[in-house]
Amino acid sequence: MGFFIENLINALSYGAAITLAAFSFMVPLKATNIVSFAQGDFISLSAFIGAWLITDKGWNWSIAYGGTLIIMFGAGVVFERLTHGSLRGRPVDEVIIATLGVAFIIRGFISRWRGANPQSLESPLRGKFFTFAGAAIPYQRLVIIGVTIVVTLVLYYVFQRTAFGLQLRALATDPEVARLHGVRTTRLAIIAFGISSFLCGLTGILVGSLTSFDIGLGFAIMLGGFCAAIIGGWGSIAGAFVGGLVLALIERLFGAYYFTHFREMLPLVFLFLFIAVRQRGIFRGAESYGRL
Amino acid sequence: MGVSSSFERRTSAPGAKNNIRNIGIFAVIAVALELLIGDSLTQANLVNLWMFYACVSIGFYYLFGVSGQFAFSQAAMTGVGAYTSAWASRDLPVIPAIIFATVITAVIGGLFVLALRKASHFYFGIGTLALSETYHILAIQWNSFTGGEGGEIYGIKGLSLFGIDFTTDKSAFWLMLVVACGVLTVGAMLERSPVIRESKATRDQRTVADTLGIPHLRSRVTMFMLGSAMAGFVGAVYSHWKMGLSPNTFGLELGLGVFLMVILGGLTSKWGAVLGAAFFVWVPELISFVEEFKLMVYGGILLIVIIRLPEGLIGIEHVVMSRVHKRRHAASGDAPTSISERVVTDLPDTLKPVLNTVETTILATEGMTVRFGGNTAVNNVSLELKSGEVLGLVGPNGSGKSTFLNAVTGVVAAEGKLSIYGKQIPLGNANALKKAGISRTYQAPQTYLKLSCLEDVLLSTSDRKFTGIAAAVLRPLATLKHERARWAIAEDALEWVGLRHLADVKVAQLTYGQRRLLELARAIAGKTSTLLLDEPSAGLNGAETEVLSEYLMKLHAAGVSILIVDHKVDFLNSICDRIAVLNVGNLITIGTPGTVWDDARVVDAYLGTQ
Amino acid sequence: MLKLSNVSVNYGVVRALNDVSFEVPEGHITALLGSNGAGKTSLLRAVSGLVPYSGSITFGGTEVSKLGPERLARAGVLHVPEGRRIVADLTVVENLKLGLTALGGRVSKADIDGVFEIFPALAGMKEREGWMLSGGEQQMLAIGRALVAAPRLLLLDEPSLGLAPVIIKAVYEALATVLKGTTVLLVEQSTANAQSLCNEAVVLAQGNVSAKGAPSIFTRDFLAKAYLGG
Repeated sequence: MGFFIENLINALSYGAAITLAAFSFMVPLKATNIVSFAQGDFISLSAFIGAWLITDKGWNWSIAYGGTLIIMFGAGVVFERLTHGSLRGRPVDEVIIATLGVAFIIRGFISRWRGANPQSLESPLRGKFFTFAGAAIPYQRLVIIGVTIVVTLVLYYVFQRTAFGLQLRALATDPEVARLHGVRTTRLAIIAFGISSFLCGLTGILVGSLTSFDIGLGFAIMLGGFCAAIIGGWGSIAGAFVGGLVLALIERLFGAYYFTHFREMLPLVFLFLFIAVRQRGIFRGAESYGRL
Repeated sequence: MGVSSSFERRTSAPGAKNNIRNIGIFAVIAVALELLIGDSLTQANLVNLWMFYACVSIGFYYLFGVSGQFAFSQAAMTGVGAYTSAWASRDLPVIPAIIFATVITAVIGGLFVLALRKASHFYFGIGTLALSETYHILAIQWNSFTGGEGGEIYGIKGLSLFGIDFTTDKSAFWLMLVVACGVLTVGAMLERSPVIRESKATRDQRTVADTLGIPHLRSRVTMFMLGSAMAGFVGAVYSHWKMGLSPNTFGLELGLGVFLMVILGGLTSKWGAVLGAAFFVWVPELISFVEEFKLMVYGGILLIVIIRLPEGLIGIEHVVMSRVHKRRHAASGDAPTSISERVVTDLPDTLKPVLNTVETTILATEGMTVRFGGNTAVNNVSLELKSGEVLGLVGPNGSGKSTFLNAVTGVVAAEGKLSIYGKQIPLGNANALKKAGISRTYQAPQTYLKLSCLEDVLLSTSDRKFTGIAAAVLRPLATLKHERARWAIAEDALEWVGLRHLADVKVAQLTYGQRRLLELARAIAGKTSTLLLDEPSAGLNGAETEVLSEYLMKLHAAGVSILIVDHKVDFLNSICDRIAVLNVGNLITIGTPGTVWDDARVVDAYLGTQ
Repeated sequence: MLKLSNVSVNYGVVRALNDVSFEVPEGHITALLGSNGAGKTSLLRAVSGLVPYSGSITFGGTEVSKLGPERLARAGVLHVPEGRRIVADLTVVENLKLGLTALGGRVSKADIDGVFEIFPALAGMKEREGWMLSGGEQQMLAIGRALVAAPRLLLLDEPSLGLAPVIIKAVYEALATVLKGTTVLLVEQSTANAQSLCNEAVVLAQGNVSAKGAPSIFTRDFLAKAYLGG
């Protein structure tokens, strides 16, 4: 029983991280129809920045976390200017390649700056856990789940209830009409990319501080994020949440019992079968409007 | 009476561009490099690596550059080929093992594309990312086979032929040279076949390619198989050259590296991949600090190239060539680019369509209805196009005339019945229309900007024998023979519309009116007996429209039946036998040009008065 | 309020609009007539900043090309494009709220509730998503969305396109009341409705102005010739 619960919590927190990663590329997607492949490296970057602020600069963890998030937001703005801003009107493939270029740059920067060895990001909850029904449940994992739920609700509210969210959704569907009604497309795009990197920062801090991390921290989470968005419905917030949950349960819960050594492959195989059979996610996303 | 060809037939394939010479130059450069710097062990290794990476990138060029499939799987496929060959060579001699590995890689690639054939462009890309990750996980977790993370397998059989051992870097050079030239030769053979242009057509405008009868799924699957197979093949050779492998050999760096190589070199030619590979291999050597910042520099270059020079280094050549071309035209006061000064001749015999002399009605719709959401664009329209006639379809904006045409040709979903030559066919069947000799043109000419004029016209060919990759590589002579026949017809069509002198010029450089005529030439080259034209006079001035009318009249004289959607009244009156009028999706009346415009209902429709 | 002088619009080699000049005084409703391909839509797109043009287009004295579509919208130039173009996955209310983006500091005659009074057919479907609406309902929504932004200049592109005559009548009746005092440039192919609403009309043919004046001078024969006489 303890084994089950431990792995369940593990799965839920992993699913939460994937969901955050999915949100991080969905926000600029709504504003610009661009899919960024740099998310993974942004996630890794934020963990490294956090570690640097705490160990090298001696900052307190809360200030370091805050500082990291602010820096990440700024990085997102720069990222937008380099990719979307420089490539207006170009085919989607070219913009995606630009994001790949940025991914390369970030990855190279990290390895040059801090090396490829495992690092440690301090967390106030490191190692603290409580026991329940024979399972050791780390507080941090619960925090990750909690933060994700909060972010989901906030994003949902922003998209569905605020003018900003409305403008973003209009922009995703019909950019020309949005412009004709005064929607400031450039400004929105910049903010969207900033929020995206902010979310990457959140993910990196939360997951990176669980145990140790290295330069590959973000890649698997980003891939999971893509899969979650596909399964849940491309561009749907509820979908990303459900998708992340499904995939994490497959990998970390089901995979705790069967195919354990190859459990990382399970969600990938699932995704493959999913795309082969269906062209739409569980919730209605952009693909059902034929916009993909 | 037709015009017999008074010009010389071409001998080289469009887009083939001196392949033999270029492959020769490549071989000479490689040998020169080897002789000059190959004494240093590191350099000898690099020359071989250059050729190795070039082959992987050439494969990537085919599946991404030509076929447009955004994929992250190339490095993984290289690894699959390498490990498969290493495993197979435990029991088999080396060369059969390599062949086996290549086949396996091709099969995996093919099955993959087939399984994901319905996935959108983007989901497919993520699917390849998943495929690549799966390979890495397997490579790491399958300890017993691969040695696991950081592990290695040693003692793979080396390759030796005719008593020569190809496992040292110096001797492996000759092996890699042969392999690279082989891969390039396969590419050259593809360029002497319809494969490349049809793949590009499918990539750029799939619906148009479908109506031209190009099998898009076959194109995608075979190109992906080709690109993956090239990677697998070279990976297999690598494993027998190095005689050792680890899961990191074909890792993320290569996976992203192929993107850099083809983008930097240029996506428009296989030589771009070769150039990019040279850069990837040597620049870190030449600039030692680059080695330290390798990833950052690669990323920066990728970013800069895609923003400023999206056609890569090869693109520089294009920019130069097109400036030369422009200057040449300006200087010689070349053939006028406005089509209004054409001399229109009869349709030559070689282009005359085969007419169905039995049926008098080519195309008939019954109750054709198209709805978009709550809006009925076409309402219960029943219309017949009779053999040999020119039927005009007119109506004010929003009357549904273009939508009707789209419904007939299967571009939009519709209800109702459609019969061709008396037989009912299901709606949306582009192939049935093509087989019946029916082609259409579009409001904005749907010519392929990235192809040359000749390649564009060749797309409509009705001869679909020997058009696949297998045919190009295994039966090159037969393929070439059919290609020559196709070139002849396409050149006749271009000559007829007065564009033959632009045969090798990219369509993007043509003026609007020229593209309009090119689209017509393409339809004719496909032995069209029935033309459906969608606003062909759009964007043409008075003089140009007159030239268009003359061309259409010549087609009419040759027996081609024409359905023409348009709104220029004089133009229509001069060529149509009957004119049908639509309003708000309904067919109001059909009459002759002399009577229909006086009909009060028609005037009401246009003025919106009731 | 809106002044066009020697305006030409080219799409590549194709000349859509050729040396067009006319004015729309404040508070007037000017109809822009002509058959397909005459250049009407290109003209509107140049005015709202979507396509480049040569010549001069000024709105309240400022050259339009200096502002761009977003700023023009916020300055009160609202363009309702051809084909309804309501945002399909947003609901009726959300579409109307989108219109508020351009409101800025102006006071609107018709807030969101006001739109439901002008177009009662929409009142029963506030939470319905745009793609579910019929053509006529979509057109009303598109117009309503522009109205909530208190337009100083309203550019209406073929509001009757693809609509059944009964619906067109309803839309125009609503427009007649609501547009009083607003400056409007109304593009229509359907002449009768436009003529009943406008103060003056400009007829375009093949990108050129072929006639200008009060609607009464445009008799049926005159128009038939302009549209069909080629």
